[in-house]
Amino acid sequence: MSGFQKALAKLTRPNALNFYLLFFVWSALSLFYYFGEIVDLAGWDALRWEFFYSVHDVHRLVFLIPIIYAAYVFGFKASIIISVISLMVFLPRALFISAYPNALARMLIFILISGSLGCLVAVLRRAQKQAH
Amino acid sequence: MLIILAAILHLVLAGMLLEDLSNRERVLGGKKVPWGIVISLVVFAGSLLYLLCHPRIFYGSDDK
Repeated sequence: MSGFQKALAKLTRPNALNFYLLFFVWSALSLFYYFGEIVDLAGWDALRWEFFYSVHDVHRLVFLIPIIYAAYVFGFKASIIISVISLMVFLPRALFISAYPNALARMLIFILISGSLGCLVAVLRRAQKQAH
Repeated sequence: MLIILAAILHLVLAGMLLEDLSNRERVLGGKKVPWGIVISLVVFAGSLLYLLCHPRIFYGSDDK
C-alpha cells in the first residue's frame, strides 16, 4: 500500500471524517462570523447586506452546532477545545469591531452557556453509551 | 484587555495540547520539540495547526 493510499485510508475512517467535518463547519462559521468585514475588504458591494453588520448574537448562536456536535461525537474534551477556539474567534469582534453595548459580556455569557451545554451533552452521551 | 483574555485562552488551550503532546507516542514529523514550540509560541494558529494534524486528540488513539 502506497503512502497516499495509507493517508487516504486514515482520512476516510469514520472518526477522522467526523473530525474534519467538524473543523470544516467550524471554519465556515468563522468566515460567516466575519463575512461583513470580508465583504468590505473585498469590495463585494452586491453582498453588503444589513444582516452581516447587525448585532452578532444570531451569528454567534450557530456556533452551537460544532460545540454540541463535538460533545455528542467526541465527548467532553473536544467540546471544551471547540468552545475555547470559538471564543478566540469571537474576541477580536467584541473588542475592536462591535459598536453595540456590552459586546464582551454578551460573548462571554454565550460561551459559558454553550460550553456548559456541550459538557452536559457529553455527560449524557457517555451515560447513554455506558447503558448500552 | 485583549492581551489578558487571549493569554488566558492560550494558556488553557496550549495546556491541553501540550498534555496531549507529552502523552502521544508518535507525532507528525516524528519530533515533539518543534510541536511544543509551535503550540507555546504561535498563539491560536499553532494550536489550530496541531489540532488539524493530530485529530486523534479528539477520539483517542484508535490506530495504534
